[in-house]
Amino acid sequence: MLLKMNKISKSFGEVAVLKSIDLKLEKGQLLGLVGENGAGKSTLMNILGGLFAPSRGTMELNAEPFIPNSPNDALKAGIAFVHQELNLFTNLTVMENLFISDFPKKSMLGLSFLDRKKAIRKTDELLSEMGLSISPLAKVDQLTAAQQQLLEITKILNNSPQIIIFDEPTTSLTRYETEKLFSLIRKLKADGTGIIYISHNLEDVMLLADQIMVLRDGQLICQEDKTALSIPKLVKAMVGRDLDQYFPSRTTMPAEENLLEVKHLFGGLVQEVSFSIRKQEVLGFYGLVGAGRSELARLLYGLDPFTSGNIRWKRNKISKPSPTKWVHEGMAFLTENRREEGLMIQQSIEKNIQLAGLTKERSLGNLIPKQIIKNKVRQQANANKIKYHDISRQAVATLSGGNQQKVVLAKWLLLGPELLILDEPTKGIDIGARHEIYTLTNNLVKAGSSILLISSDIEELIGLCDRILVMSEGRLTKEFQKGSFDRSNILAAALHGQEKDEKR
Amino acid sequence: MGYKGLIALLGIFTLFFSCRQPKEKTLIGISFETLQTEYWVASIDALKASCEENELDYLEAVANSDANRQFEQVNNFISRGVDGIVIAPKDAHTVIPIIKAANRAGIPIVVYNRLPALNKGTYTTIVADNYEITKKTVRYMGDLARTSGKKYKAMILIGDLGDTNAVMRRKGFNDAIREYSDVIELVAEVPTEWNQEKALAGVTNALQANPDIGFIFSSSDFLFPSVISALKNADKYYPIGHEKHIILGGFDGDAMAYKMLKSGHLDVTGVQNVYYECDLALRAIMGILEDKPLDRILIDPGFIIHQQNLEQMSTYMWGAGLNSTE
Amino acid sequence: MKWILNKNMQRLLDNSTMVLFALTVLFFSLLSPEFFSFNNFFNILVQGAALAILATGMTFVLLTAGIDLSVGSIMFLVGVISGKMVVSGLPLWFAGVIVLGIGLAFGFVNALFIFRLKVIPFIVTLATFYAGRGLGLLISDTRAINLPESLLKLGSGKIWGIPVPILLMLIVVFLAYFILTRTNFGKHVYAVGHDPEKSRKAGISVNRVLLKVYLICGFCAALGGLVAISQLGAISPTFGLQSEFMAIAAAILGGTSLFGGRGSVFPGTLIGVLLIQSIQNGLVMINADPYLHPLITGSIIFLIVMIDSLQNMRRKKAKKLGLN
Repeated sequence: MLLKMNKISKSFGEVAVLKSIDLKLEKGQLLGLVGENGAGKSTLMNILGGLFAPSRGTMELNAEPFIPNSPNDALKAGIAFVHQELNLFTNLTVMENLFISDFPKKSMLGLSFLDRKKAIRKTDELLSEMGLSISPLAKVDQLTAAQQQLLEITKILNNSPQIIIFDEPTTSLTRYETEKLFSLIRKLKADGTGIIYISHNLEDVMLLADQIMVLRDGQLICQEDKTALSIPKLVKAMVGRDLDQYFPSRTTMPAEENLLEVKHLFGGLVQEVSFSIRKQEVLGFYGLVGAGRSELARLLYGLDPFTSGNIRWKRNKISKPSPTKWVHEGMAFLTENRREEGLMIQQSIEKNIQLAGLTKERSLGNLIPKQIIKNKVRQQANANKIKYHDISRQAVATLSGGNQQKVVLAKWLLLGPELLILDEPTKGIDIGARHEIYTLTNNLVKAGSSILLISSDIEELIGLCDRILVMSEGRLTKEFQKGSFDRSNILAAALHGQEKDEKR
Repeated sequence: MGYKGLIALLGIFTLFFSCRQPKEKTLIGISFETLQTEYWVASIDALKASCEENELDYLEAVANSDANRQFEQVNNFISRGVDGIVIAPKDAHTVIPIIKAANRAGIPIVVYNRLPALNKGTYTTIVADNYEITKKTVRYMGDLARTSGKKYKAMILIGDLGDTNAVMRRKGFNDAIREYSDVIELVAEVPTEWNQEKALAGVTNALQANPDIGFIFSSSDFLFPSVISALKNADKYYPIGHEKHIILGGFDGDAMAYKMLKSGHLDVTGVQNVYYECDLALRAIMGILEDKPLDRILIDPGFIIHQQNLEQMSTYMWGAGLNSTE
Repeated sequence: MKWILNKNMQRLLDNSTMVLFALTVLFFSLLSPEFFSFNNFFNILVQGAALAILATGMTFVLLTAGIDLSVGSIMFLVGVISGKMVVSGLPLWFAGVIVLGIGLAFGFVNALFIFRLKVIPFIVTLATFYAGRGLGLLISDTRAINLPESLLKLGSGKIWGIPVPILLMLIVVFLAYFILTRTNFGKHVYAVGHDPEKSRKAGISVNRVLLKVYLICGFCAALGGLVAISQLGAISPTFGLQSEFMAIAAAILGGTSLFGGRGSVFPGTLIGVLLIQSIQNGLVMINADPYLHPLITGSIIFLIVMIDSLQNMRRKKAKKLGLN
């Protein structure tokens, strides 16, 4: 037995976050760890990583007691943590990042200096082992997100750890890059490394794991072999009840009338994109990272200027789109970076929700009728099932990722938009909250609105959309109609341009 | 806890003693923007000496180049009930609200060494005539050049161009030098921003570009060490009478200039008559208190000091009164 | 095609100070034959030596996303104390050792306040800026101190035909370059400047890095002060005033970011210093209107800062697109 955690409990003050958790990990085994946000996954891993001491319980590493006092202790014992947020210095080179904690040294005149040659040679070795073809002297900020992710893992492997913890490692990766990561993980397993893999993506977990452990509200629900589990079973274990259907069904059909028409739009990455959205339609955009989907949305919404093209809204030409104009016309944009762009993180939930709605609810000399707004905000917050204890005082920063997303959504729904652009609305959000967001958007369409959905999750697009457009290198490459959706065809269309590029 | 009590006690003490101060003598408030040059130190010393001579009491405050602080300090003077204020202000603009405050309290105010930017309110200004003094100095240098019968290339070290005094000195220099265009050609204007290092670099560079410069005017004496350094490096620092001597002139009359005059390296410097100015300032306040009519601007014509009048004039030269640190 | 153009653009932007320096030299050489001479280049180097040493120390601090406003005051205090000591007959080397110690002490105090009491560097060093200058004025009685010949001789002396200030500057710049590129500590400086939290996670002692950085800056300020007074021959009460801004400007011109983590002493800061000095030198050489000097220096700094922010925007955009 490589690792054993016995009856681990942890309380912060009065609140019990973990209740008597047992965990077992063998050499060469991959344990999937799933649970909703706030289920206690991070706390458990932080105890293993030496960041917190458990309130009760013991740990054994290779059948010997293991009591880490600091992250450094855990690191020395061979426990490595790949955080969701990368721990890289983007201002330094690849080589410098790999050795920042401890450079190979040589001594000269009794003083010790970096041995650059040795460091470069070792970096080359490590990189080629990882199958990464980058120069050791390249600056990290010039690498792609995937290369950075792999570099972070390389850095960790340099310390030859016995156990690696992955926390949502695929959020910034495209499918193709994810596959690369997975084959690496399989190789590590084969070499005898124990791996704990945390993810909201249940398919990935089912694909990789030998055993899966489910936490809910700080309690261990089960740790079982994968073969005894299925996605619906997992979902039930995580949420505590059956979700009727993963993607709620919708009976409405798109109307004939076009709501928005875009013709020959150019700007930044975007190269001659034309499309239209009908009323009550859900239109999906798929593509790899960097394909230009978010850029297209930004051009459309007037966040970046476009060089040429034509935008028509209900047959009227919109010559200079701007967020102010669109809010007035009834278009809303939920951005990908909700923390940076969509939310005032230190402000109350109420303030955040009423932000966009303000402009529409003006009456009598431009004054905002305070009580009406307050009531509306509360209604919307409850409709969105936001879990809060004080809507007018609690800062958005204190909410979980899923609830933050629901706040942003509530903000835009309050506006009653005719077209809602959603950019990666369920990224990093647990399955329960995801289901609620799907239900909300469906209700919106039923009420007569249209949705433009940008997502990297093909299943999500297939489950929700009427039509899917695929982008690659800033161009539209293919269109799929509901009924002829096919996972591998969609992926192929997205990869098409990419492959061409690599051959060049 | 303890130190708070101590501070409170200290506060009570100061209050007690300040209340008890006998207010029979006339009390003058002296506010200086800065003491960062010798000139200001000499001025404030001279003012204090004049006060003592005239049996006046005084309060002094230095604002360390902070206009706000200076305003506060003058307000403190006013609430302490001074009879008159002498102020060397941060600049021509920030002094205006200070004048207003003094006027409101009915306390006479004398502005020392700077002309307020706005001709408003009641005050008296005492300024040295930078333009005329410079002109006199440069004319003396020009005469030396003309009598030598040689032709000269000239350099001037300019002060901070945001400072009226520096600008007036440059103007005085230019106007004087024009009268000697037959023997003197201006080849280098070196901006120093009143900075020693810039002055050293500037003079060195100008000598590099024009190795035959033989006539240098420095807008302030305090830049002379830099000038000397540069001249020495170029092997051009020699006393009067030596064939390699360069005609040197300055402005201020500080200790360095006095020393250079004594050793025969400096030909001439324009002097602001600090003692006269201070006397003028106090007299102005006394005059206002006695309701005598007064001019708005009192001008110190200054004087020039050179090898011929060194003996008799050095008693009026403030720099000669300072023991130069050797 | 577009990419090639962009890459060339990028290369030009990356070396903007170098390009500007070359253009400056070319411009003045065409206007004044005296400018392009061996002697004059020596002049520029000698005049830039003190600033280069000062700016080298400042670069270390800026790399950690800090700032040190006290360097000008340290220079002044060092000048006053060493001046007083030498004038009173103490040996030169003794005075030198003492004042270098004072520079280190200032650095120590700065660092201590910054990481023990968690006060931001701007405020801490502003306090030491006032303290240093005040102490200097107190000791000097606000009088100019004239220095003995022996010090001046040192300033204009030569070893192997190279003026002492240039030699000192080269040693300092070379050492700093070596430390930043070839030692663990150097790499840690960049890491801390990029993100102290990540550095801590990577096992770097952030406090120790900050302490060393401010010690280096204090030491360089003291050494720079000594180099400057050995050329000046006297210390006026305004000595060192605004030197901190010149040092910061030189480092920024050389491509060091105010936000930390990016920059270099060589070629970076050294080129920044040479650019400033050549412009000042050249303007005197061609006897430009005195009102032009601050205008030109100002617009050059503006230009460089503009290029820097352009670079930053590119970096951000590239990151957003996930491209290389």
